[in-house]
Amino acid sequence: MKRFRSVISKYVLGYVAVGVFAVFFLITSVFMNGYVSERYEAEIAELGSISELEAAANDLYEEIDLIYLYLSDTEIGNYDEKKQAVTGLLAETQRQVEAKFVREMADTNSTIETYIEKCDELIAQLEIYFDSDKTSDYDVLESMYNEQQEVYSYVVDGFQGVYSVRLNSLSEMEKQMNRFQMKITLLEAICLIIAIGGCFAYLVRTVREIASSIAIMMSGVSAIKEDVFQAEPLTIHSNDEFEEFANAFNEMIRVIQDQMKRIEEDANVKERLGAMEIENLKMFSDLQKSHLDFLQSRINPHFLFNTLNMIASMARIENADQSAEMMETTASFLRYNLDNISKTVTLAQEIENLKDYVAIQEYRYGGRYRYDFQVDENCMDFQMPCMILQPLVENAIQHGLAMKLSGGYVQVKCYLMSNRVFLEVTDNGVGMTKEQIAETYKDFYENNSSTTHIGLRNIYKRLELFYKEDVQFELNNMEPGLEITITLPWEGRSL
Amino acid sequence: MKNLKTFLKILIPAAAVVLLIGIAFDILHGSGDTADEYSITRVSVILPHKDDGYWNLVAEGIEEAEAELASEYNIDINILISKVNYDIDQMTELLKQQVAAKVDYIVVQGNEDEEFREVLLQAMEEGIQVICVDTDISDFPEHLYIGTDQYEAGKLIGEELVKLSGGAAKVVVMSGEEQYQNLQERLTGFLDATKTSPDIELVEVVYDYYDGLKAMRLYQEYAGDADAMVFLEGTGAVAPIATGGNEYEYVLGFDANEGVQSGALDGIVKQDTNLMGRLVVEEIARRIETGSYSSDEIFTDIIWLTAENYDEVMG
Repeated sequence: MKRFRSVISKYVLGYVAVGVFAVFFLITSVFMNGYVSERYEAEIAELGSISELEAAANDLYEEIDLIYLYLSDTEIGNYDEKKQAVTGLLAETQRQVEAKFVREMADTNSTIETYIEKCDELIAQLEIYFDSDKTSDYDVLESMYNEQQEVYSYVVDGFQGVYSVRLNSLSEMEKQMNRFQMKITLLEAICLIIAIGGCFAYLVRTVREIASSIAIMMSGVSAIKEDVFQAEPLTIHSNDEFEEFANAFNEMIRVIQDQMKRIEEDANVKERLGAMEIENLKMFSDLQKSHLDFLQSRINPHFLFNTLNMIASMARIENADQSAEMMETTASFLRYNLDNISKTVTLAQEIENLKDYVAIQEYRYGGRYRYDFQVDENCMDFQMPCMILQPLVENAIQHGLAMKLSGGYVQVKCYLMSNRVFLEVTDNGVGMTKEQIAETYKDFYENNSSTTHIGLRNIYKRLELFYKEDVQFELNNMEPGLEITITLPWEGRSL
Repeated sequence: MKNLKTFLKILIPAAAVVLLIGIAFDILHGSGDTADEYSITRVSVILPHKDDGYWNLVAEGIEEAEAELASEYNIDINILISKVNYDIDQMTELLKQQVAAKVDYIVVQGNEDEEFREVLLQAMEEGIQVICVDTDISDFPEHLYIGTDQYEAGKLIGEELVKLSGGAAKVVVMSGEEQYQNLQERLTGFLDATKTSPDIELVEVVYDYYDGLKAMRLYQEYAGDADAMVFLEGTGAVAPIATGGNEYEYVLGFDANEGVQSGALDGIVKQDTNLMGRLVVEEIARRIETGSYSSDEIFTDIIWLTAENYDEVMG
């Protein structure tokens, strides 16, 4: 998993870097100043040692003079002390030479050693001189003394050379130190500028990153407000919380877009399904129409009507009035069906046709069933699809009353109530069980291809096509019998 | 571009830190560094003269070789020059100082002064190595000589005189100082080369004591008595250079390049003085490394320089 650096840590890093640089330069300055001071102090200390050595050598020289010139044997005791002083200081200057070779100092140290040797030889000879009651060879003593004097003059020359070199060295060191300090100061200034510039650039970059991240996020939010589908993923590579936030934000957008797309797709599917259903119904309607047209094409209606009317006329000529009337009623019923199958009719026309059908059935069943029409006059011009009531009455006779040899009863009621038209067909036949009613409803709504209740289902579907969903179709078991109630909107009368 | 930025981000602070450390290191350790393999060797070179044409070239040779070898072999060289030219007393005094300072090597122009020799012998007793450059010391114990084969040089100038004069000339020989073995050897060589020519008459051998004024006086003094002047050292040549060299038919000498160039001298023996100086340091380095010199007598080349071959030789 990618590790993010927090904005706070970025700021802290910038300030810590500035602090570290500042401390670094402070330490460097302190160190350099300390170093320069140390060099000066060491040089001065070395000069002090050299000066002490020179003074000690001079003391030794004077001591020798005192002993030799004044033949003071009592001073011989002090000689060793003076010599020790020189030897001690000489060791110190030797250490200086070993630490840092300076030719003049090395030569002077060696010359002092030679001088001490000459002094020792002279003192030894002087001791012999004093011990021998001052009778030893004076020339030897004088020669030794002169040699000692000569070497001392070299010592003095040597110190002059050393001082000269030391002074030059100090002068050179001062120049060197000045150059060094200048270089360091210049370098520190360059480093400081680079460091401050770097830190400043870092902080500016951090601030710009934050500002840029915020701007990107704001543009992302605006894009979502306008159109969530057009919103592009936020692109932030700041390696901090903003990048983390952008990743989460992008994930959120993706989820929203996915969900909305799914909803839209579902809606489209539903719309397509509705359209397909309408198409199916249209196809079904067209099929029925074509079927009817097919029948019509097979039976010439005019020939049939003319034939029936001719038979009716012959029946009247032969005094068979009942047959004639039956022929005329059948012809009227058939004409209604064939002429109005795809048209709207008034309720009055529908009732009239239904009465034709009932008359035919009465001829057929010879008074086995009784028919009752209760039609509100106010509803008579109500516009509705044709062939709605006849199938209901036919259904009552064929399924409800078929097994009833007498006492069968069919009631047709049409009335207006609460701005709706109620069409009721009631019989006292076998009726329908609750399961059968439920099964019938199921056939209505699920549009399956059940072979039962086709007539009722067709009525319902035709009404639904005309009145959309503003159709109520109820089946009530009357025990005995069945009541079918269709409720239609009054406003739809002019369809 | 991104890589370059990253590179610069790392490079700039790193360079600054390295520079800072470098400067600090240079200050802390830049001076006084010596080679650890060898202990310090103190060399004192005592030169008799500070001139423009001879001893300064020896000194240059020493300094050049020192620059190349001193650091490696831990050699420290101190060149001392007597305040008065060729002053043996002053050189002896300088010599004594160096002996008292117990230096490791003393380099001198040899001479036959007794005290000078005694101090050198004392130096040898103290364990100081003695090297003679340009001029050797006769019958001196174990030491190193670097310089011209003086006899051969004198012989060369004699032979050239014979060639120039056709074997007939009255010649005055001007030398520097009697105590210098090199000049005596040159004189011997000259005499040996000219003795086969009976018409070469040696008028006199005179000494200028390395003094230009004295050389001029002697040069002019013998102009009527001789037709050839031979200088056995460089100082005397100042006279013909100053006058044009017309006082004598043949003027020959040593190491006076400008005299040949101007035509005042017919020819000179040119010694390789720079090489003498270089060899001093090289032989010391060799002895530090191996414990001995390549030889106890090292002769450097000599060339007969005339107007004809001047450009070729001098480049």
